[in-house]
Parts: sequence; C-alpha cells; structure tokens
Amino acid sequence: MFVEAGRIRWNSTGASKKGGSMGQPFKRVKWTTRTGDLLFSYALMAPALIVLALVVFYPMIKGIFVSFCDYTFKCLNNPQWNSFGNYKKIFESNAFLHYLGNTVLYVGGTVTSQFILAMVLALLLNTDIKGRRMFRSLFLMSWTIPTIVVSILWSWLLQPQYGLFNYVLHSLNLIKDPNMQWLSNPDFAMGGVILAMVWKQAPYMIIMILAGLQAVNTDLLDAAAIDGASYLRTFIHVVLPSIAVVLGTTVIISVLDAFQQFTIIFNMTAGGPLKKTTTLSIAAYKEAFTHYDLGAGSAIGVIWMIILSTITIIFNVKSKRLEE
Amino acid sequence: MSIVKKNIGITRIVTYLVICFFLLLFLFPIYWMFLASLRDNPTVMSMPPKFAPSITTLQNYVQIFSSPKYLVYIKNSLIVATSTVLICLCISTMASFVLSRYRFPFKKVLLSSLLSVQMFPIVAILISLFTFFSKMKLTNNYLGLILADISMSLPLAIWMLKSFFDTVPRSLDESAAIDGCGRFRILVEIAFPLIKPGIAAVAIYTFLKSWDDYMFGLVLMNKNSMKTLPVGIAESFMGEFVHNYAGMMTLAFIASLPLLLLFIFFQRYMIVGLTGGAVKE
Repeated sequence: MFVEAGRIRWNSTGASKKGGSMGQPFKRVKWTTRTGDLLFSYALMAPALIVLALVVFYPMIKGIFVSFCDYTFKCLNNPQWNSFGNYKKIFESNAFLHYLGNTVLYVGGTVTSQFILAMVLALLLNTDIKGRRMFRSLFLMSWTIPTIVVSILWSWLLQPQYGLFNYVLHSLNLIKDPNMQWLSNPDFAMGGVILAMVWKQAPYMIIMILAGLQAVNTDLLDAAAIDGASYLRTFIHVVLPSIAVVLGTTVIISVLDAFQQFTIIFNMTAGGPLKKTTTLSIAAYKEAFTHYDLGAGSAIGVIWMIILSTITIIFNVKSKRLEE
Repeated sequence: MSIVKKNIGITRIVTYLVICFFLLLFLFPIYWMFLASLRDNPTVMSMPPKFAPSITTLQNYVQIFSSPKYLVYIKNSLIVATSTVLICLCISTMASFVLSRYRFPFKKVLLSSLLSVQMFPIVAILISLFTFFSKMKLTNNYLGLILADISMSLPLAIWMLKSFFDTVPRSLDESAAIDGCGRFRILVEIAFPLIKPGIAAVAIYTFLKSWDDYMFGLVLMNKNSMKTLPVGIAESFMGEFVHNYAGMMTLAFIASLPLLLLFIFFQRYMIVGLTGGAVKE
C-alpha cells in the first residue's frame, strides 16, 4: 500500500512538470510509467538487498579486510595491518595444504558416492515399476532429518561397542574385531563422516536425477528403440545428453554443500583424530573461535572463497557452452 | 517369446529387490532411532540388538518434556524458524515479482550475485558477522539469528519464486493494469494467488533450512535461555546424555518430528521446490 501511494504521488508531480515543458500527453504518460516502474522495482528489491548486504556482503568484505590484520579478541576494535601475518601463519606449517587435502577428500568422497548411488537408483526407479511415487517419497525421508540429528544418529550407529554398524558387519563376517573403532580411528574417521553425509544427501540427488530422467523426450527414446539401439547406446547417446544440465547443476550444488559442511564433521569427530577430518570449514571455525584468532580464520575463508569461485566460474562457462 | 518374457519378469524382480535393499539402508536408521526412544538403556545397548518393535518405556519422553531446559530450546527453535519463514516469504515474493516482471538497471548483476552468495564460505561470514552483531547487540537476540537464517535461504527462495512468477501469463497483469489495478495490487491480488504451490515450496524449504541451522545458532546464541534445539542437542550429546543413548535418540527424534510431519503432509510441494529450481520442464 505504501508503495502504491508513493507511485501515485510521483505520477502527479512528475506529470505536471513534464507536461508543462513538453505539452505532449502521450510522452508524458510513458515517462512517468517508466520512472514508476523503476521506483517500484527498487522499492520491492530493497528489503532483500538490505538483508543480504548486512548479513552476507558486508561481513564478507570485512572478512577479506581483517584477514590482512591482527584481529584477535584482544584487539577487536582496532585491527592492525600485519603484513600477511595470517597467511604466513596458515601456510608456514603446511597445515593449510593438509586441510585442503582433507576437504578435497571429503567433497570428492561424498559427491562421487552420492552420484553413483543416485544414478543407479534413479535409473532403476525410472523403469516401468509400480509405486514409483511411493518409493520416491520414502527415499526422500532421510533427507528431511536435521543435520545435527544425522551426526548424532550415525555416531551412535558407528559406536564400537553398542553400534549397529559393527554388529551387522561382524555378523556378515566382514570384520574380525566386533568392537572395531571407526570415528576414533585415523584411517576410517573420514569414511565415517562421509557415510553420514551420503546417507543424508544422496536422496536429494536421486530426486533430481529422476526428475531429469522423466523429462527426457519420449519421442527420442521411441526413435532409438525403433532403430534397434541397445540400452547402453540409448543411454549414452540419448539420455545422457538430455540430462547433462541437470546432472551438472546437481553436482555443483552437492560440491558447494559438501564444501560448506560443518555440523556433521564437528559433531562426529570434531576434526580429529590427528586432524584427519579437519576440513577448511572446521579449521576456520577452530582458528577463530577456539584459538580466538579471527584474522587467521578469515584468511582461511578468503583462500577458500577463491577456490570455490574458481570452481563455480569454470562450471558456469562450461554449462553455457553446453546450453548453446 | 516365452524366454524373453521370463527374462523381463526376472529383471523386474531384481529391480524391486535392489530398490528395496537400498530403501532399507536409508530407512532403517530412522526406525532404529524411533525404536530407541521407546526403550530403556539396557535394551538399547543390549547385544545382539533387538530388532523387533517393542516398547519398554515412555520415560524418555517424560524426562525431556518435563525438563524446562529442553522446552526452552524447542520454543526458541520454533520462534526463529517460523519468523524466518514469514519474513523470508514477504521479502522474496516482492523481490522475485519485480525480477520476473520488470526491467531495470543492474538486474542481471543482482540475479547472478544472488547465486554467488551460496559459494561464500559461511564460516568466514560468520566470523565477521559475530563481531558485527556483537556491536549491534544482535547476539543472544532472536532478530540476529532470524536475519542470518533469512539470508541463507533468501537467494534460492528468490530464484524459486521467480521461476513460478515466470509461469504466470503477463496478459493477466496487463488486463488488470488496463482495469486500473496498481502494480502492488497486481502482485497481491493477481499474481500471488496463482503461485501458491511455489509459496508452499519456499515456505517448507525455508523452515527446513532454519530448523536445521546449527552453526549460526552456535555462534550467535550462547546464553542458555536463547539457545536453539540443534545447539542444545549437540551439548547434551557431549554432556548430560553422553552414555544415555535412549535419551539422546528421544531428543533427536523430537527434533526430527516437525520435519518428518511436514514431509508426510506436504511432500508434493517439497519435491516441486527441490526440482523446480534446476529442472526445466
């Protein structure tokens, strides 16, 4: 209503001015409508922009700034330039490369296993089975479980003495030790946090790929069938190109998601054992809120942002080429 | 012919078997969590595990619902999540309507910078946001966490609603405008009622994200009376419930319940919301 009132007022004042000088009613109407459109657009965009500016863009720019400064809880009001001290600190001990390696392992592990699992299940669900909608809904269930619950539920399932995971594997004779350590074992902890993430996120990929498969043009499939193309050939030459864009979008969303993942790792292993599961988000959080060095935490964030934006830009360029 | 038919029958059975096997893997942990919430600790920790459904006690639920601490966490989470949904819906409806209907300078820049928000490292934002909000007295304040949650859902909400507004024919706006309907009334009375499924999808998506938030809650709310449920769960997992798996799973199940209920009743919109953004039909 406020915007509406504003528009009318604008129209009347604007019209009298413009009308007086030009004396052409037709142009006058057009001009005021255009200005009104602009004002209306910016007025309705404003709340969204203000919130994002306050909560995302300002802190991000401030973060880049303080990553070059001494910025600890002792000197919050007076960040001082420390000539790349934070970046030196991060790179000196090779810690950053270690964390980056963990992150790549985590992202690669979750996205690859999700992708294979989801692709197989989506293809199976796309055959002429009965109850597809029911299966689809049931699969989506684990995706709705809150992340904190996922991490606690899987900590319990992977618990050495009372966990179900060891019981099942031991009954199937897959492991010798019935009280196998998973999350506190440096070799397997990463596998444990990947498992929990895949359990939560794979359903999302199943739904996306299935939606893509169902949008494939059936005329093309019929034509391929009439030409006697085998299942594999049809898949490679007809289905895959049709769902390439969906696959790309889904994978990039999952990569960004896994990169940002904090809750699962922080609550299952807290980055340990031996920092084997310390990804960039865990490292940045610990630097800032456990070691109280906000500058160094921000520096990790800045390098991380550079990596992520490079990935996203490459993806955008490639997907544009695909769409053309 | 009969051999071919038999083969098709077998592949179909194998398809069902494989699907059901994976379904079991995905659903069993939820069942196991629910079952543990209805049992006492000796039963929960017994080896070999008792898989058959059985109820030994409701004490876990009584314990949590009679503890003021957890009621406060649940209340805080509900306040934050519902306010986030309402405010986010208003803001994103307005923004997505003009992005769908009007041309104005910097529109393309705005649209792409909205998407870039998702690749900003949340932890890095959080570090500066914490100091900024501390100065503005927005820590331990519902408004601070609500603003943070809104900004995390807003970009995708705007994109989703924009694609719904794009499906509403422009001729409707134009005929309304000729009848003397103002711009804002076109949005409220003509376009908005036509995108109700989109509104539902965005509302559910925002609620899910806000209810799920752990990180912002952890940093922005450190007073006990202001903590949200996910932070409370994580703390009791390390403290009060450290060896009490039955109690832990009860709390976990209570936290999942609102989302499971939303899912059971509104899954149609959820799937529309999920796939609508990425799949062009």
